[in-house]
Amino acid sequence: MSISKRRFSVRAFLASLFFIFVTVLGIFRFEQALVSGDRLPLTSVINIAADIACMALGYVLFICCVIDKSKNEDNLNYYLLMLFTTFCNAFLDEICWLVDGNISQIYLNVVANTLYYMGAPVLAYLFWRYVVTYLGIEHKHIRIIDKILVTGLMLDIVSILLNPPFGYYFIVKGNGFYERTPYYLISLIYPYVTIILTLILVILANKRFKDFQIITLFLYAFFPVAIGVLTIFTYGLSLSSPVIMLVLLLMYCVLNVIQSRERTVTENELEMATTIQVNMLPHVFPAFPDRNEFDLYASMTPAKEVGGDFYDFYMPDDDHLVITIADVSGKGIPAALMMMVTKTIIKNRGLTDFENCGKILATVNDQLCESNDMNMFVTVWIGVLKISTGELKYANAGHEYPAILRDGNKFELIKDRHSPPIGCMEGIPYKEQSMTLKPGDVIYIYTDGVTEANNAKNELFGEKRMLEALDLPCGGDMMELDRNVRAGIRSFIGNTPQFDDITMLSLKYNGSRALNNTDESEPEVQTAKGDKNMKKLSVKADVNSLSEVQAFVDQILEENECSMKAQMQIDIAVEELFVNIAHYAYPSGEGDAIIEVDTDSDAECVKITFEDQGVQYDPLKHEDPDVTLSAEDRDIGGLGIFMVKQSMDDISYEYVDNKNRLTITKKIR
Amino acid sequence: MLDIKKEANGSALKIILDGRLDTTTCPSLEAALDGALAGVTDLKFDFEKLNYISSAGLRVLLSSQKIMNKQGKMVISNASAEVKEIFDVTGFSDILTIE
Repeated sequence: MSISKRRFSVRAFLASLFFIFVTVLGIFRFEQALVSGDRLPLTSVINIAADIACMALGYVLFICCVIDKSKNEDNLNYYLLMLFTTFCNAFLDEICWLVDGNISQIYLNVVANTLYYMGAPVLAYLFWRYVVTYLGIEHKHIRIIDKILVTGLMLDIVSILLNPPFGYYFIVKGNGFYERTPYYLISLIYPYVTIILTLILVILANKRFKDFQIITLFLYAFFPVAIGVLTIFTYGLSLSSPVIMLVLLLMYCVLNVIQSRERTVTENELEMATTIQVNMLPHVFPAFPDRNEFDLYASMTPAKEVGGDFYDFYMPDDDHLVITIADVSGKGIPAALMMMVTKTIIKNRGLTDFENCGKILATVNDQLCESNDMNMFVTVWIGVLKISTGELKYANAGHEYPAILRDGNKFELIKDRHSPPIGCMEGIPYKEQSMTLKPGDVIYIYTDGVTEANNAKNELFGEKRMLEALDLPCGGDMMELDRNVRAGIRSFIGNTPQFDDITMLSLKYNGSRALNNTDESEPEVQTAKGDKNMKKLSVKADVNSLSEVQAFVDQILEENECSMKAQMQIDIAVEELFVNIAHYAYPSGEGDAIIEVDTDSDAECVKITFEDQGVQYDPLKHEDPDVTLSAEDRDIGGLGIFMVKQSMDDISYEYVDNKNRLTITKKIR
Repeated sequence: MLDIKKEANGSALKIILDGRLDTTTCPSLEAALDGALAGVTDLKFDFEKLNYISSAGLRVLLSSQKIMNKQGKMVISNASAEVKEIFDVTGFSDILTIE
């Protein structure tokens, strides 16, 4: 980036010199002409003075553009080209007026006028490209029109270049005076058509522009056209260049200054909103390690422009589990705030009114409608599981249909009854529905970020693909299920940026202790994952997650009365291993890392496993650094893993199921 | 979290660290040292309140040691037993001057 910045500075400097040189030259020649004996007609003086003012203004605008850092690259290029063309046209116009009637400068007159005529079509085409790059459209119709316009531009320029010998647009008479023919209008057909086409495009895409932008673009087209029309009727004043420069100034102020201010605010907003969101949702799993009647996992992957999705789960009493998923309309900070409010109110109600989730939604709805000036609404799906019986009561406020796996069949959607979303209107009664889960059944709730994830061809991920991803083998582990779906979405959307938050929650019912009365425990109930001594944390493989990972491990160590020294050694080991994953596991993008902490039954030893799905890499293969070397000869690589090897009791690595798993073991007491 | 206090005394510079020196806090130490070592012949790190150091921290110390080897001397003082053990294990106790 710094190289292109330097190149840009060099180019900007050279262009700057050009601008200054030409302007000064213009002023100098003008002064010469005034001072010399030849009397310049008044119209010429006005025109030239206006041209010089135009050039000076052009230079100032150029400086502004160079300094203004927050502009979009493509847009900036076309704007600068328009600036440059208008600037040159002003200078050419000045020359034309200066040498008009000067027999010794006939050739210069012809050349200057020819070049001047080319200004209009070039400027029109640049205006078209400016609007197209602003909209960022890649439509094939646009490309066809673009090709036609380029051809038209070439034809127009060629026709202008062929003018000097044939003189159909204008001639410079023997006495040195320029005279235009009525046919000069033909050279203006192309520019006018192009500008009209561009304005049509602006109208068609009017949703992408704000009102002031549309007005400014129209003014850009209108003024020069008006001036052009005027000069058809009068000959003498040619103020189109100065007028165009003024409109470019207007464009710069209105379009770019306001745009860049908005963009900076938006970027800060987004960051803050994402932080609020991510921190609010519970993300330590297993969530209820001492309850093996169910397995629960949830995840929220925020989009760049955060959208206010959330999930929630809690146990209001020993026999009930409440799960919620919701989608707030809108994006950015307003959505994040609405999410916080809604989540809190729903949980408050849920803790007391969990016997009737219809009532929960109705009360929350009335509360939200009270203070909902912004007309934001929330789609919600809430379910309350009675753990001892497997009865699931639920209510759906305009939210996506949940998916369910029953009797070991495939996943299918439950087309439950939809009530309106929350926040639309007061006094809506929300009906509760119910079903019974049997051991092994899984219910999966999600937001439209899943089904409406789109790829480059604008195809949607859709319900069918989601169900297929849900049916992939996951070993009965809800975290695996979650991963399968997210991996499916990621590979589907490819490089397309994620548009909406991807939020999902999956719940497997294992049956209550009462229902499960066989002496041999079911394998699903007593896997190591249900073992209360194993805790898992899933985080983004990013250095910023390090403190969360260390806090997670530290808490478990403290609960198990780990010695200070062992804790510090383990902290360092965790940092070294996690940072390695964050830096190297996913070179081409982002990914997750899972940290599993296992304490054995006597809690004298702790086993920590780091798992990632990134590039296959065995850190133990790395050679130990030579610790006897001096400072100068010392190679810093491999130091981290060496420190881990020295301080941990055991360290092992395996690559299984396309996952790197690195395990360290340490006695803590 | 890491608090960095600098005490300059002519060509001697004392840096007192309070907190942790890990991947996330190292950049602030690097920024504090950047340019501050010019003309310094006697650099001293006070590690009394430093309770954690990882390989990222060792990296910063190594590069400072390399610079000070050319212009003077660098000393680490008041390091805790755990931190000293890390220096031993990694061989850094031969590279750094520890008192």
